[in-house]
Amino acid sequence: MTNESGTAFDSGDAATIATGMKVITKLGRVVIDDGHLGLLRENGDLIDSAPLSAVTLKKGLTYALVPTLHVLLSGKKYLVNLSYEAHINAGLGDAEAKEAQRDENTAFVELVRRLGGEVKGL
Amino acid sequence: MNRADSERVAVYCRSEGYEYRSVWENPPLSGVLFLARAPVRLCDVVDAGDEEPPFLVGRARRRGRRDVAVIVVPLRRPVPNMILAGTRGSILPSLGIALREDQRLRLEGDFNSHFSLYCPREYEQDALYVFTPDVMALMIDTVGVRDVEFVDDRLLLYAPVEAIYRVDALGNAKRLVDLLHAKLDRQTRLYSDLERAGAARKDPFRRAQLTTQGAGDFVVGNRGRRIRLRTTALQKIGIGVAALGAVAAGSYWLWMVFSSFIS
Repeated sequence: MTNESGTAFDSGDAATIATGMKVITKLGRVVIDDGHLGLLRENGDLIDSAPLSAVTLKKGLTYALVPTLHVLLSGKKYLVNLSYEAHINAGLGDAEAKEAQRDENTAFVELVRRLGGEVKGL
Repeated sequence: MNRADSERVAVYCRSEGYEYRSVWENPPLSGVLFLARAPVRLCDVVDAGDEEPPFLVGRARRRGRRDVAVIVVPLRRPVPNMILAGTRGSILPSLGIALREDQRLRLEGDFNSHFSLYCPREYEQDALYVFTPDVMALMIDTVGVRDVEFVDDRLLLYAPVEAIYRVDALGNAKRLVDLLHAKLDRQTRLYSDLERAGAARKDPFRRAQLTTQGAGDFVVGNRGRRIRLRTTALQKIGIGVAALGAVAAGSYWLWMVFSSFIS
C-alpha cells in the first residue's frame, strides 16, 4: 500500500485502533512514513507516533481467533486491526475478513521488520 | 437552531465576506471535544480565513450531547495541551469530558474560584508562562467563553451556542477573538519546548499536525502534546453494568453447556 508521495504503508481509513478495552476509532488509519509509524483518527488527528526503531509488533494470545496486532509505540500498547472493518463492509463474511486481515498483517509485519521495527512472535 | 437560523448565519457571512459551510463532517481539528469515538459534526461554520487574525466558528454536534460553539484561532507556535475550565459553568462536563485531577494546577490569588487550569504533568511551569496573572484577569472579564483550550498550534474557545449564534450575538465571535488573541498570541509566540521535543522534531506526523507556517520547527515534547482524560462516574457505571452483563451472559452459557452434559 504505497503511494506516489513515498509513504511506505497506509492502511486506508478502516483501521480499528484501541487501547485496553477502549476503542479509540474504527475508522482510523495506520501509516508508515519517513521512518515513523503513525496512528491516526478518522479526521486525521494524530493518536500516537514513533520512529520505527521504537516500534514493536506482537500478537496476542487470541491471535488465532482474532488477528489483532499489538503495536507498541515507545512502550505504549495499541490493539490494531488494519482492515477487518473494510472487508466486512465490502461484503466478506467474518471468516474471510479475518483471513484477509491475516494476509495483510503478514505483509505489514514484514515491512516493519525490514524498516527497522521489532517483531515478536509473528 | 433551525433552517431560518442557518440562513441568518449564511447572510451574516456574506455581509462580512466570510465563507459559510452548513455542515462539516469530521473536521480535522484536535482538542478534547474531538477525542470521542462518536464523530463530531460542525454545523453553521463561519470561516473567517481572511481576517486578521483568521478564525473559524462552528456549532459542534456530537450524538447524544448538547451542541457547543467552538471558535478556533491559529497560534504562531505549538504549545502544550492546556485547558482553562470555568469553575462555574464549564461546558466540558456536559460533553462527558473529565480531566485528571493530577494535572490540575493551583493558581495565584482568587483565580481558583473562577477557573481550573489543567496541563500535562512536567509542564506546569510552561502553563504558568502562558497563564500569567494579567491573562487570568482578562479571562475573568471575558463574558461568553466558558472554557479555553490550547492544543498544538491552535486556540479553542468553547461557549454556549446561544452566546455566539443567537440573533444579536453573531458578531461576538470576532469580538472574543480580537479581545483574547492579541494577549494569548503574545504569551505563546516565543514558546519553545526544544529540549523535551527531542526526536519528535523529526517525526513527520507530529509536524503534519501543525498548520501554522513555521510551527513545525517547534513541536512540543510527547508528554506535553496531549492532556489526559479520566473516566467519568457515569462512564464507570456504564462499564460496570456492561461487565456485569457479560459475566451474567457467560455464566448462563456455561450453565447451559454444563447442564447439557448432565442431562
